[in-house]
Amino acid sequence: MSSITLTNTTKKFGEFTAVRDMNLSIKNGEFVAILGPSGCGKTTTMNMIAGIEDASQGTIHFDDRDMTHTSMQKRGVGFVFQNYAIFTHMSVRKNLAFGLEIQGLAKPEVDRRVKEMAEFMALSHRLDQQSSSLSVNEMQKLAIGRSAIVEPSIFLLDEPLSNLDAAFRERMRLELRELQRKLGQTMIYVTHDQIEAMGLADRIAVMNHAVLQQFDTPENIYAKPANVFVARFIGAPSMNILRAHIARDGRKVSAQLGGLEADTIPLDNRLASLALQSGKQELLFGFRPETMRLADRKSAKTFAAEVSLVETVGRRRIGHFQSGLSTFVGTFARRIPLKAGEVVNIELDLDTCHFFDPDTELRLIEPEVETENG
Amino acid sequence: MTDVVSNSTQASAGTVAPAMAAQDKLSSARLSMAKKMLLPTQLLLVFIVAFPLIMQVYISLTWWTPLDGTPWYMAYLSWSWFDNYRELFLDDALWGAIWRTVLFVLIAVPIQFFFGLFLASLFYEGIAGKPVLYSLILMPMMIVPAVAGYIFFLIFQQTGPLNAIISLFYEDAFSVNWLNDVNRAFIAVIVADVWQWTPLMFLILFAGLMSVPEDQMRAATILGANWRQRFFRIALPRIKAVIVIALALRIIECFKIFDMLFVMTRGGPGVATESLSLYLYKQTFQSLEWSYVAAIGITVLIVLSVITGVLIAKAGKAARKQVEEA
Amino acid sequence: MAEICLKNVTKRYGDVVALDSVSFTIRDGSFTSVFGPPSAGKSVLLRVLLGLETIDSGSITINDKDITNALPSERNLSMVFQNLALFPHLTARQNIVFPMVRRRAPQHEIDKRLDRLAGVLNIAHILEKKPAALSGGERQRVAISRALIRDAAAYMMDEPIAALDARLRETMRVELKRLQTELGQTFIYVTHDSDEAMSVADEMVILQNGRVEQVSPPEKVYDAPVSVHVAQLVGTPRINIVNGTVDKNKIKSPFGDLTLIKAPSAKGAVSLALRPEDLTRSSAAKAPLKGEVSDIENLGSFSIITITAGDAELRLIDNGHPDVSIGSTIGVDIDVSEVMAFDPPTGGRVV
Repeated sequence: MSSITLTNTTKKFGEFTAVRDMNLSIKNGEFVAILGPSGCGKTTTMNMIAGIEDASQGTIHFDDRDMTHTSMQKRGVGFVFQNYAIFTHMSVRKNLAFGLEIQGLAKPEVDRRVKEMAEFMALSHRLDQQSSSLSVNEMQKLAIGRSAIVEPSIFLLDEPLSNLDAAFRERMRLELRELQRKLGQTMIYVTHDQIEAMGLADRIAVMNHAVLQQFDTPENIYAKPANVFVARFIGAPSMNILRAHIARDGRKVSAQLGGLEADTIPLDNRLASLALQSGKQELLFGFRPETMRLADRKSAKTFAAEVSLVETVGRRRIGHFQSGLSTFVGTFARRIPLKAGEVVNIELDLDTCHFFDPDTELRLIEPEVETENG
Repeated sequence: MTDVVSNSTQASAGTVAPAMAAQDKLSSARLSMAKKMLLPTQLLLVFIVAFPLIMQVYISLTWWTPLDGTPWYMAYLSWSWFDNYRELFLDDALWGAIWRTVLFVLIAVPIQFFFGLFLASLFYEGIAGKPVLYSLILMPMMIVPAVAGYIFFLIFQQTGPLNAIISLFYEDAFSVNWLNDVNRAFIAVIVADVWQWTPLMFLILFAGLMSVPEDQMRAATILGANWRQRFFRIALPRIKAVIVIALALRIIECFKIFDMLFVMTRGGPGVATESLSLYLYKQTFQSLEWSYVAAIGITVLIVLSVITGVLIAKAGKAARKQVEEA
Repeated sequence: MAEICLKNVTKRYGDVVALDSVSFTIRDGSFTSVFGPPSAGKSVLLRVLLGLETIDSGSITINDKDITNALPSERNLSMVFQNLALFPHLTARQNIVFPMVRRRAPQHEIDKRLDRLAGVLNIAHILEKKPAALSGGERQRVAISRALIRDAAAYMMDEPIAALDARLRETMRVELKRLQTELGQTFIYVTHDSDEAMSVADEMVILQNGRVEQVSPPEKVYDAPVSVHVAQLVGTPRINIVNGTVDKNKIKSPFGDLTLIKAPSAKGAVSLALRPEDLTRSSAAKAPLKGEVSDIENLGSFSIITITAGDAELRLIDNGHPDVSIGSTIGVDIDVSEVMAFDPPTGGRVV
């Protein structure tokens, strides 16, 4: 077990910057997901931690040991590759034993631990088969087992579930959480799937375009996204972000969505003070599809929108709305009737709505919690 | 279905579902068409390969030599059955040449293999100046063997650069006549052959190493394996098929060595560096016993075919296993 | 415009039966999704419809015209391939109009159609770019436009958006749905993603091991799956399958007994199937089902709680901030009308 600290870590490939000025402090025993779209630098970050890539600038520490220039052979991390990198010319047993044999452990000890790990990974019946004959699901278990058997203090997983079918992915999410609880190691998990990151991690590091966007607990990432990118990347369907014109009439402050007077919603105190403090007339207004409610009748709190398309997915209905110039999405339970073409009154849960600065795309935050979020 | 004329008998079976029958009709028509298109090429190929072979076998069964004054197809006039073959078993000069060739192969090919593997592993791990070194290493392979022979002929002269360089480290002038001594001449030709053909070995083995999945090597590294462990436990087992192919290629080629020796030593001193090919050459152009040469040629062909067949079967097996593993 | 009808279509590859007596009808103007797990025979079905593969038995008709043995070019079906197959040396415009130019269509006709598609698919601004300069989603739209520009009896799509990232997939599936509604054409859409299949389609054809398991509108597939396989294929998280025993109008399970409105026809052991989204947490005292919490997965707007009783597991959806802890015992309630049960050996529905 050890903590990991990246300080101003940068990785350049020629002119291209894959990771820019990364500062990340991962606690001992923590399960951290690095999440982002493809090409955001998440795999490069992990490769630098593993020592597969050298950092161009900055340092990497495990606990207080400087590992920046330690070769990957000596870092003592466990690494599960996306394609598993099973030694297909060896048996399952040989694969599991590889790390222990390299360490020069005595044969009885190796045999005992291989047997234990095979049991833990439910691979006992496969031990003497050629590893190339395993199914994808078993290969994945073997890949994890082969790394876990040497009991590394840090465990790195590169999109380990991306090759699995949907049903097995759900199962493996559960098993990975169990595994981490049992092993108690510091784990870093790279993924582009926000559900995996949300479901597995203690904290999520969201990356985009080589830059760390936010590093926080799943709850905070979801409820208090740092900027427009994080807000849109987390949650399915993504957060609606509309342009809003801030109008002030005496003490009442309201937001005109899409700049239209017809779509004016009155703001509560929190949002009003945020809007006023920003000093800007135009802001980005964000609300999650799952926080919308259909009101029975028109009121001061509602605004009208036309349903343009309805998707039904299981018990959920996803409504696509058109209001003035803006389009947005809402999810509802299927029992709520929703038909394309009808006009409905929509009420938002203002507590979960956000304002973003249109220029910096950062979320506007209340001054008193500013220090908390950094 | 398009109406294709087919003389296939399968289509007549009444119980087969119509779609299936139609498909069979179509595919058998395609097949016979394909056969027809391939026929001219196949005939040409048979002619190119078979004609010299048959001619060779025919002559080897006679006592014919060009000195007879009869054309080769009249060779049956001196029909001798297997006398040539019987003779070659008793020909000490031939066995000497074969023994020297085998010795040459047994020494030169392993040296080339280990040098090649060593260079390939260096390149695989990545060394400084890779692109320059790469072209430099491959250069000998591009030189015509006769020219390479000439280069080494000059290098190993008594007054040549090799002796001059060695002299720098000695008090007295170092002047050994390399190519005139039985053992030294043998060493010299091996050195020349190793110089010229290690690059090919390197190239094949390097290509093999490049095909080892990078992630597997990384996985082994992260599990703590050092350079040696990675090489012997991961890389080498995975390129078995390539190794067999490289060795087979070099053994066959080396067995036929001729031009370099011809230029460097002409088989001398005495017969110290006379390979099988050189011996054949001498028999052909000095003794003019062409039917005897034909018999030797056929014998060598049979022996080499058997050896190659075994090697290729092994390589094929290893390759198939590798494909299954991937 | 076409009604496509398959009757007992069977396709074998040696001993492997890829399609096993497949019969269903695709209504004119419908959006039909062909859904199933990998290697269920979905792509073979498309290839058979297109005429790229001959079938061993059965028949295919388009508008009552038998096309079982017709050549691909005689079937008038259009296709979007999974790998898009755009010509890299042509601009988006040239790619899209290619099928029309090849058919020597008059220029004004080509322009008219291109304009319409460009408007609907929002690609007017990228028409002069080559595929390499386009993003994944743009390339996808170009490929779809190329398939849609010509008049075809039906338009087929083999996982057309599978290669895109999650965000783009969500947007594209809505665009496809919108497009089909606007054009009123027959779409046949192959996918292995159950949410996608449910979201776009009017009608779902569910394939498993080369057999048609069910042909129904998505809501019916979800609410009334004909077999335990179908129940497991649709819906995320996966449906819970728990061993149960029927006792008069009760089904006994490791988590407790469920009392049904009327006694089921089956007797003895059944596979009880409960959708995670139908289960609600309630106070342990009066809830019909009880179990110990073994896992909590918080996914932002909702969470998945796993409870166990013996070896059995039950997963349920809860709100984003469940106030339970691992190891505690919670009660779970369900509307009995949503309880399903299947016959374990056959997989057929009994409740």
